[in-house]
Amino acid sequence: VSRVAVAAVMALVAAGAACGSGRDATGRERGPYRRVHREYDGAPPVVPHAVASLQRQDCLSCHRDGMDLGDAGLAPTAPHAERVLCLQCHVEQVTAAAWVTNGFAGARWPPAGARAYRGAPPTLPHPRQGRESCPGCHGDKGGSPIRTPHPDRVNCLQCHVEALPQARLYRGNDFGGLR
Amino acid sequence: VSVDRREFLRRTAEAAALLAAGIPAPGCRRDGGPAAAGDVAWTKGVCRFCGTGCGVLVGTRKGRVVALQGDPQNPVNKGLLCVKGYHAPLALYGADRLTTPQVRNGGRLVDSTWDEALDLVARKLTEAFQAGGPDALAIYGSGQWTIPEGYAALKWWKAGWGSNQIEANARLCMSSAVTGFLTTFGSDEPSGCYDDLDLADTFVLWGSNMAEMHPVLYSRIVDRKARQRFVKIVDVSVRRTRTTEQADLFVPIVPQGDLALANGIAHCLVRDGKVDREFVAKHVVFKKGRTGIGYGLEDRFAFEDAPQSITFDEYQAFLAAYAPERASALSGVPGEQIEELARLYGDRERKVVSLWTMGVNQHTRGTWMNNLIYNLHLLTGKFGRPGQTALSLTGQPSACGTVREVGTVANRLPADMVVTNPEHVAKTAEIWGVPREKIPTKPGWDAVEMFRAVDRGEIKAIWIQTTNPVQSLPNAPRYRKACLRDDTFVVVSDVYPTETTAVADVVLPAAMWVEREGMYGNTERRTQHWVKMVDPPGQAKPDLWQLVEVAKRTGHGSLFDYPEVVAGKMSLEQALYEEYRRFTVGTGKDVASYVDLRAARGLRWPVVDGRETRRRYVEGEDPYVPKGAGIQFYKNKKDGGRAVVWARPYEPPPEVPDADYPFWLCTGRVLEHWHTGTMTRRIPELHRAVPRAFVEIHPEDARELGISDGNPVRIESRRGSVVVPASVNGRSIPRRGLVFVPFFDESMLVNDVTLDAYCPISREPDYKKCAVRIKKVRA
Repeated sequence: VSRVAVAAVMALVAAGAACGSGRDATGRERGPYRRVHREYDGAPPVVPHAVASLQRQDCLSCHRDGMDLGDAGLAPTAPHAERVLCLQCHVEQVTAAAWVTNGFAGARWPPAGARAYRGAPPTLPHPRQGRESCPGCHGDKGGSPIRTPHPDRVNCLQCHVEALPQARLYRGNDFGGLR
Repeated sequence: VSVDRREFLRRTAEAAALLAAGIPAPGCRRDGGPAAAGDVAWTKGVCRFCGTGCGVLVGTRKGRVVALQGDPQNPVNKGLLCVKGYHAPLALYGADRLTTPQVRNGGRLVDSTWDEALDLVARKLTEAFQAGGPDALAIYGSGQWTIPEGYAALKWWKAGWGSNQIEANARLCMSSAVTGFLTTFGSDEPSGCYDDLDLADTFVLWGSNMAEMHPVLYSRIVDRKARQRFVKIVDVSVRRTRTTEQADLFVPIVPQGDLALANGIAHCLVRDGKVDREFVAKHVVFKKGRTGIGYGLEDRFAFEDAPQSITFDEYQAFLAAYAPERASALSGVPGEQIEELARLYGDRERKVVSLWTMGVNQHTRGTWMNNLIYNLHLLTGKFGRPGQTALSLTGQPSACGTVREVGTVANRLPADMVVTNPEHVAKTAEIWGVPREKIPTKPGWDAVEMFRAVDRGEIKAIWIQTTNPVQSLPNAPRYRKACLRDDTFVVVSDVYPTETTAVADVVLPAAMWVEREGMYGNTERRTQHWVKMVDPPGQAKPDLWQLVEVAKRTGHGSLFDYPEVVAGKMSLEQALYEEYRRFTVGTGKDVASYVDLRAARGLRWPVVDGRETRRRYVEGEDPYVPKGAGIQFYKNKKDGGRAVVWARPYEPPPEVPDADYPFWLCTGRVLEHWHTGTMTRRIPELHRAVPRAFVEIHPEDARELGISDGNPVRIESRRGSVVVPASVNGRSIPRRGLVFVPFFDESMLVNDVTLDAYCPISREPDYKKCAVRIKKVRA
């Protein structure tokens, strides 16, 4: 049993190592990307800048393709560009103060997915929640520290699958994968 | 039993792998129970904000809600939410959650025990009853009550106290929709459903800023438009809003002009031969009612309509007064736009869905306006066919499920029944096991009159749950003062301190959302269930528990005595729901069984043999429509199963701008805040997005008055005033001569300014129209 527990811990450590750190190609700090501007992993991030024009929802003019904003880096690419009512979920913060403090403590997903063996495609560590475009975050112009090493491949879900927890293992498996 | 070592290791490895992966579940068990995933458990639930009824998956860990997803399996929202929904979990964790019962002592609220507080409430209710009879005590709830909560309150008040003094805040938002449905179709709630949004090609929004108030449904419409270029969105409004940005046609309208516009469209349809003669001949009758019906401004206002049948020719003669020129003069809508709207409604090739909420309902002629929109669909036969319907949008998560279906209002009983009908009373008494004389047959006061009766000292004790009337009632100062009377006992159950808890004699800390089991019913007749997922904080207790504990103390405990509950075989929520369901079975309003409800992502009634109904009154969809009927309005028996086209004229509003008060005031909500803001303002992301109220002013009006964006502005009516910062060229732009203020901000109470006039038929107040003057003030 203890051996299994150790293996589980090792898997977590390995997953963490894959997260990476430092700065990305645009000079933006790499970090727990999913945590920035969000109450919990999976919540829509707030808009971290002034929304210049509330009259027209033209967010996508910068965020459709990760526009290069010079010193400000790349505008993160919307992972669901088919959605056009951006301000339905992403709201500007016009003041810093909260009205009443809030004790909510949000869940955070593991930084990376699990692999069956070294070199195997990792599973998705987070639900997709309607984000159909993986390259939006994981492509060249994405904001995630996890970048695809093969941006020419576009059918991501061919190899990287969602791990559905309600699908209990059909039978056990003793495969001892290379680590 | 020995477990083989290999099997043991395998199981442990499975658990460890799941733990290591920590993968969140995109689904959950079919029985509604949690699906363990890593250390976060996911359970299906319903968003507790607007009436859309979005499905959510609630992530819990160690007894706390830690995350949320839109439920991809829920057909309402297909995985998408809005910013309020995504941040709903934070509504549980504001630092000042009420966690201890409080009793007023020496003018101050002081901590108490449950026993002391409940004993006091029971004693005061009993004293009020003894002093003034059943009409001297009232309960006021909301469309955020769950079905079992509302049902328990209804049963206790009507069968226990023998009092019809039960109302809910849905009176303030949906009762014109109810009386619209009742007068046109003979039964409350829509025929159509959200599926029609994916099938229509023409959407006419009557005074509804859906992009902010029903954002998930508006996204569904915008998705539809993105796929089909010929889809048209028409926005009829007094303001240009985010909704207008996606609209193909903006129809600017003056307040109250909607009555003339709808009749003007009908005029053109009849003039141009666009009436579907076959549909009208088979399914429609024509009627007129009283005119000059008043505005409910006087205490003890009374009104009863006197419907009269008319012929199609008489209806056509009535429409003669609404030729485009006159309709245009009354409505402010250019004649060519009236013609364009008539072409859209009249085009046989177009599938039209009309949508509306508060612009139509909060209206001194709200019932008429609902009638007039149905007229357009009934005249053209654009009804009951896929993508062709008139869909009244609901404001609250269970305004339909609880207030309207259970009937937690002064004159109603469950499933479309009323206290004034002896057969309905008899059926109710039988199900409740009480003598029929116990149930009073004289309706109680509607919400506004209920608080007027408090002000007059006629109601001696009132219990308010799940709502904040001191901030939300129109002309609020009168009702705040009423609650402060020394001889009036006010009990408030809520989750945070509010303007209403501030005037309470007893404050009871309540459980909210997934802190207790519940069911809600949404706009499209979909009843949805969730299980209790976390404990309420401190000593907070569910509203249902509070009601039953006091009922036991007032000698009405037997109303809630279910052997299955005592034996631990079912929850009290289930027992109440199952009993409520007996009212609905066989009536066309049949709600789903408890077991089916737990398993499903909601089911739309009538649910017969476990099958839901997408479209009421339609053969092949609604099991109550006989073969060969096509469409049958079977609930409207008095008109032979036909719907009613009403001749309802234009009449002016009670207060219009003049030289002293030259501006219209319209009030409402914003995307980020829910009602009086007591929950959403405690969510940092939402508060930071819209930290205070504002007054939207047209840029030209602002320029003439020397007002710039952000300047403090005093808004003053004949009733009161409020100072609010100006918003010029902000999110929305009102028409000239009209200002808009949201009502969520308790530091800027715009309902100190509004007028408590209401629709005489629905008794719903008009929050959209009164006369004010505005002036820049020094900061």
